Amino acid sequence: MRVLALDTTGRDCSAALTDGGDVLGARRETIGRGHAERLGPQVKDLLAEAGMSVSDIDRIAVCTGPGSFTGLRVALAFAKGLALPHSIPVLGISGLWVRAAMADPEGKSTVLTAQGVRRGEIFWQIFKQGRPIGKPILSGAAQAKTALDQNMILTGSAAKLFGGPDEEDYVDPVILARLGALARPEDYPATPLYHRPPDAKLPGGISLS
Amino acid sequence: MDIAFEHSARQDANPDITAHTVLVLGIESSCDETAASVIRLPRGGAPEILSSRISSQDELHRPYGGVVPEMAARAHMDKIQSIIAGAVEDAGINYTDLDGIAATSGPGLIGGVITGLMAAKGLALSLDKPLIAVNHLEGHALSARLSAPCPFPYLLLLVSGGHTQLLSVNDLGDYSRLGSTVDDAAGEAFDKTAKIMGLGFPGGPNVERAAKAGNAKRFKLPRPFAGTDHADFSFAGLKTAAARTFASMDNPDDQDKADLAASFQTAVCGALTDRTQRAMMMFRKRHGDGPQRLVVAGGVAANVQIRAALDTVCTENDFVLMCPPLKFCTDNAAMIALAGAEKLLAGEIDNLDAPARPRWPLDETAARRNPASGSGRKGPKS
Repeated sequence: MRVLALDTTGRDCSAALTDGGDVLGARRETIGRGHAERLGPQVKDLLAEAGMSVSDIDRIAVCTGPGSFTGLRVALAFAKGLALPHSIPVLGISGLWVRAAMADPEGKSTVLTAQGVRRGEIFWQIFKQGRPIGKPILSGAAQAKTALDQNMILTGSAAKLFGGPDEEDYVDPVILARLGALARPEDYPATPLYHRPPDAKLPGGISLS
Repeated sequence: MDIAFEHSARQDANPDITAHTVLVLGIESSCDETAASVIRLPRGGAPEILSSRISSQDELHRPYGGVVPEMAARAHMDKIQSIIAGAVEDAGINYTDLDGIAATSGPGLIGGVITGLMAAKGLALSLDKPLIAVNHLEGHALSARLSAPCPFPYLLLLVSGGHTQLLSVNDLGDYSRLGSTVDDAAGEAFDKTAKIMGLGFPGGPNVERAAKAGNAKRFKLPRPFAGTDHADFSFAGLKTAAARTFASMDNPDDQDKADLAASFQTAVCGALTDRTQRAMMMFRKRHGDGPQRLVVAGGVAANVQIRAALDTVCTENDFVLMCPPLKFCTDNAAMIALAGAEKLLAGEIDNLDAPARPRWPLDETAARRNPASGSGRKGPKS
């Protein structure tokens, strides 16, 4: 199965093209901004190098978040445009899951991924045997710590807040492609994973969040 | 020359500039409407609109009295795929029949613009067809040509929630800005005034409804820039004056609101006609005497009082007033498809690195020389 994976949720603009266990090509550009300009040419180059056209892609896996709201929409909207003419299934895989799979490639352990999402909050989720458990939770570090037990692998950019490793913020597009190949499209729709509601106040100062 | 200029330079792609007819998909997502449309345009002929789908977010933003950018962006993301698929289906074509994909790439709310533009880039790469990055204002400038013959040149008054400008539309791709707002757009002033009086969003129709029963002479509100020898607008002071007037009333009843709505609407009307008349003189200097055309586009053009006042100004100045049907006056994708099709026929296409531009004046040079709306560190907005 040929999978195109895209991530624009963080500082990186990255993409990978895989076929079964083979990596046909991968790109990681740490640009911070300008993802909307870079992603198209990046994917075009990747396909050209592999001698493929979009219609040869069987599946598109997109990182849905957490991250920049505008950033995560860059890859999601691009993937939806790519997919339409050839009815290619698009899957949404969270960055939390990708991080868990990076820390536990064999899927044999229990992993807690904790990502820092500003305002002193973290966005975290537990993964068992390579599968997500429940839904991601937005909370302070203290609450996440209560879910942690000694046998868990701790990963993510906020892991260092409670004794985990100091890791760089990185979503590996090859791992994203691998998860995309294994998951069922109906279970993982390509919808954004927003870690908080929009900042909008109703007249009278009532907030949505 | 800045980065935006370099990026927008036409590059390596090689469109068929001898094509007789092009079939173009247009995508619009720069404010609070998600829209897609397919049109067919013969070279030098009239466009045929094969489909035009639109999803409005009015309901979503209504409780807030204005467009909330992040909520708008999320709604665009939710709708973009089904709106595009619907427009292609309605047109009764296959994706592979398309000759180009056009999308608004600015000016507008960045989250929405990026969503529509990225979907267009995906389609362009998927189909190996050219991308055409369209200036939203150029779409409005050409929108009158969607429904009726409207030869160049003409004077354009664009009045919406996001823009208020007077443009001389000299030819395709040749636009000179005669005036624009230095602060709020006219529609924005309507929205904010409606919000202050609790009349609801969108403000234009609600203020207009309330104004019907009102006495426009009761409150004396300012006419910014009236009589000055340029064609710029200002609505912030007028909006503030209306807010102060409202705040000064004890327990305002429906009649008070109606009177203030009527006074406000009449003041906006006065500003628009005064500035338009000034622009007509500027337009004549360039394009000469004899009958000319004024095209009015944007949601505010739906206001009956404003339309009637502009009609009078036109009659007095030997201009013919052209108001496109409301569906093409407000944000829509058919106008983006039309602007894209015209550019495609002229060989003007863009690469996949085309940037989303929250600020993008249609008449870039003039805007730099004479910055008006929201100009600042990042340059003129529109």
